[in-house]
Amino acid sequence: MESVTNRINNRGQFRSLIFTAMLVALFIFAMISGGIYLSESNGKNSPLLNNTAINNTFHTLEEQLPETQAIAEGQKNNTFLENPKEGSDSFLFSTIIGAAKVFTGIWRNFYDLTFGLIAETIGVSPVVLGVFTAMLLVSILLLFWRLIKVGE
Amino acid sequence: MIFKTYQTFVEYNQTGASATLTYVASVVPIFIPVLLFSFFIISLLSSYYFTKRFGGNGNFMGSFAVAGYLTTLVAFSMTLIDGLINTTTVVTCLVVAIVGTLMLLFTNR
Repeated sequence: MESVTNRINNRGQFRSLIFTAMLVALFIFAMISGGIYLSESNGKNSPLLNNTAINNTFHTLEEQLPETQAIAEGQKNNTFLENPKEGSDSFLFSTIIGAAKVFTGIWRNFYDLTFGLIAETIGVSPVVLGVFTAMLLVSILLLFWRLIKVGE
Repeated sequence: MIFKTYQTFVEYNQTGASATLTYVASVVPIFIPVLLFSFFIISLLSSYYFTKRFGGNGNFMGSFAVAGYLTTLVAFSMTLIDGLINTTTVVTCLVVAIVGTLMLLFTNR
C-alpha cells in the first residue's frame, strides 16, 4: 500500500511535470517569436513563417498559453466558490476555505504589486505573464489540496 | 579527369562585405550548415569541458541546450542577409534548440 509520504512526493513530481511542460512551451514560443521579430524589425521576410509546421506551432502556442491561465483561474474560482453541504465536518471545511481565500488573496496582491507592475512597466508579453500566473495558481491549488488532505 | 566549373567571384557580381559569404553559400550550399554544425560542436564541447574543469562534473544537457541557443541565434542573425541561409537550416537549428530545452528541463528535475 502506498504511503502518504509517497503520494505527496508523487504530487510534487506531478506539479514539476506541469511546470516543466509550461516552461518548455514558453521557451519554444520565445525562440520562434524572437526569430520572427528579428526578421520583421529589419524589414526581412522571416523564414520561420514560411515553414508550415513552425507556423502552426507558433499560432497554436499563442492561442493555448493564455487559455492555460484562464483555465487555472476558473478552477481556482470554482474551488473557492464551492458551498459545502451541511454536515458534521462542514464547519471545518468552511474554515479551511476561508483561510485559503485569505492566503491566496495575499499572494495574488503580492503578485500584482511585483510581477504585474514590472510587466506593465517594461512591457512583458501577456503570454509570458499568463504562464507565470498559471504556475502560481496551480501551486496555490495544489497547496490548498494538500491542506485539505494532509492538514499541514 | 573532369572538373566542375564553379562560378567565380567576378561572375557572381555582388558588392559589399556580405557578398563574400553569400558567394560561398551559393557555390557550396552545404557551407552554412557545416559552419553552424561546427559552431554547435565547438560551443557544446567548450561549455561541457569548462563546467567539468571548474565545476567538478560537466552538465552535458545544459551544454547541449546552450550550444543550441547560440547556434539558433547565429542562424537567426544570418537570415538578415538575403541568400545566405535557407529555411530548412534555420528550422533545423530551432529544432535542435527545442530538443536541448526538452532534455535540459525534463532530465534535470
